[in-house]
Amino acid sequence: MEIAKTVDGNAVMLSIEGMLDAESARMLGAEIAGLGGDVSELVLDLEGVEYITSLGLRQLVLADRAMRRRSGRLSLIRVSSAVTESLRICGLSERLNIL
Amino acid sequence: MKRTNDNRNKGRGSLFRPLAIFFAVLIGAVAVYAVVRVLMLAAADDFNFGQETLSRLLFELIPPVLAVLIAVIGAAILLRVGVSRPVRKLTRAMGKFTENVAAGAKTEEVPARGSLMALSGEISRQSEKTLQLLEDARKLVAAETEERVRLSIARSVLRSAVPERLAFDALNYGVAGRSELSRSVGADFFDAFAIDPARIFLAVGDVWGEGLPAAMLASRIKSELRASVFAGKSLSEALIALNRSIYGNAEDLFATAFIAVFYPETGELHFANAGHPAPVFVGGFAGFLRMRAGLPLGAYEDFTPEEFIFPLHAGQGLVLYSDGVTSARNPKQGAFGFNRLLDAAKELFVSPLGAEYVAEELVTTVKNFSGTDADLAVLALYYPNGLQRRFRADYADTVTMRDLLLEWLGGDPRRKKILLVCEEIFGNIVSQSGANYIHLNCSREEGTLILRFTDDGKPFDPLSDKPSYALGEGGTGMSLVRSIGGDVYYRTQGNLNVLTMRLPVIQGF
Repeated sequence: MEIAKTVDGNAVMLSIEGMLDAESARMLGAEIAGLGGDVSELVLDLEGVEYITSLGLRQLVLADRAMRRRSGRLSLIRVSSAVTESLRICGLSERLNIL
Repeated sequence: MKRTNDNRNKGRGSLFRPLAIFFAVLIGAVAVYAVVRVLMLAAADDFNFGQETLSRLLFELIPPVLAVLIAVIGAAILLRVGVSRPVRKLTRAMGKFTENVAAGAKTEEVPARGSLMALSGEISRQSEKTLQLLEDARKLVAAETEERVRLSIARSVLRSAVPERLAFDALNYGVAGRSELSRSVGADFFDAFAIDPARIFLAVGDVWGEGLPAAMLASRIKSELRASVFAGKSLSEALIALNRSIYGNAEDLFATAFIAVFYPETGELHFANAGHPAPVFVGGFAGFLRMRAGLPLGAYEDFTPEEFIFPLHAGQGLVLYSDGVTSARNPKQGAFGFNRLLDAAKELFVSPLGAEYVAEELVTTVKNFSGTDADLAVLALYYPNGLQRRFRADYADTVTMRDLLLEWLGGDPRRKKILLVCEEIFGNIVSQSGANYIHLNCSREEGTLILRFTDDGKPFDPLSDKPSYALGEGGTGMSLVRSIGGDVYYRTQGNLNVLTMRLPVIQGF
């Protein structure tokens, strides 16, 4: 998996490529934990994610909670059909901010 | 210890023997020479041993004898100090090295002189190297052992909460659960039990994690759900309590769960969901139960699940499954997925062989598809049209079958003959087909009573054997069935024997 990072002021976009499984979820978690305190807008670009496991879904919830704690916001953009289906099945599509 | 001593003695013997022989020969030669000289000088003196002869003897013999003695003693001392002692020390050191390694202590330097110093140094260096290798190996084994121990604990924790197989049934329902654990111990779980004879609790779920923490959470979810159910909480209340309880757990693990209560007397299924994939219902037509998904447990503090009701009809069944089923991957075909699950479930319910058969076969299908070990949980509910029961292929179970059939047949005037035929069929399967189980289905469909025996023995028609001792000379099961207006046909289905008996319903019974 690869994560590309784009920073624009207080907004950070992470573009994820590949499979979002246990190992890449850990990488994503480390990336999010390392965000500066001034980041209030986190955008995850999921167009390149062809498959997501439960640990990947868990990481999305943890990112959402982390952003809420710092009064920021997590948004998911360009969500691939595979990820959309997984988010729908577990109900997270009703909770996460999907653009 | 004993072995070390033996080795030491053996080493010493092999070093000394040639030297000892050499010196013995030398001493022997000198002795022979001395005797010859004594005889020669004595003969020249006509054996008078005069003073001159004696002094010549002394002059001639003492120096060589002394020289030989000094040489022997000197060589012995040199050998002992220069070779034997250091070799013994080295041997002892090597023995100690083995003991020290076993005890985990450091080896000491071996003092030595001369050419043996090089050997001693080499031994020390080799010892160091061996110790380093041993230490590395020990660390590796320790890490691997720790991991293995953790996984084995995880396995025990999960296995104590989630059995590999579970099955129970009554006249009007059958429930069977089946679970598989992979090497990494994912925590897919199920639970099923009768709250009372009129209510069956069913649950299936996945913890989003692996290993010990996940296994412990699965075990906790199971016990908290049971506690809620026995405390009289509704399904949504049980999920709310569980969500609050596990929200913010140390590892921030989440789990999905589908829970339900089945009422066999009415066929109603009440259920609630926390982010788990929807179960499949089969019979007539097949599909996924429709509902709002809810949310994974532990993900968000505010979660209000809904409760739904679905009416199951006689002859229908339900398959609850964990994520491990649909996400089982085959390198060529990708994930098992929902369509394959639906097809497999439909096919398994074609022949009403009960929940156990469905759960077992579905797990086998998924395992064959992925070709590896997997974390799976499957729970099947079968709501038969009539009665269904699985028996051991054992004469002792004939009694159970007779009681069941008597209850089901009620006041039917043919009941004795029907019982006789059923016992004949049962007995023949037990004695001749080598089956493990016999599955009995009894249903009433459009004016016909249907009794179906299915067994997993070798291909064998239980009524082909005749005449039967149970029915007396000349009587056969087949002719008895015909005498009460019925018919019997035998077929094989896959590796199963299926014998179906049809009888017209007598009005009023």
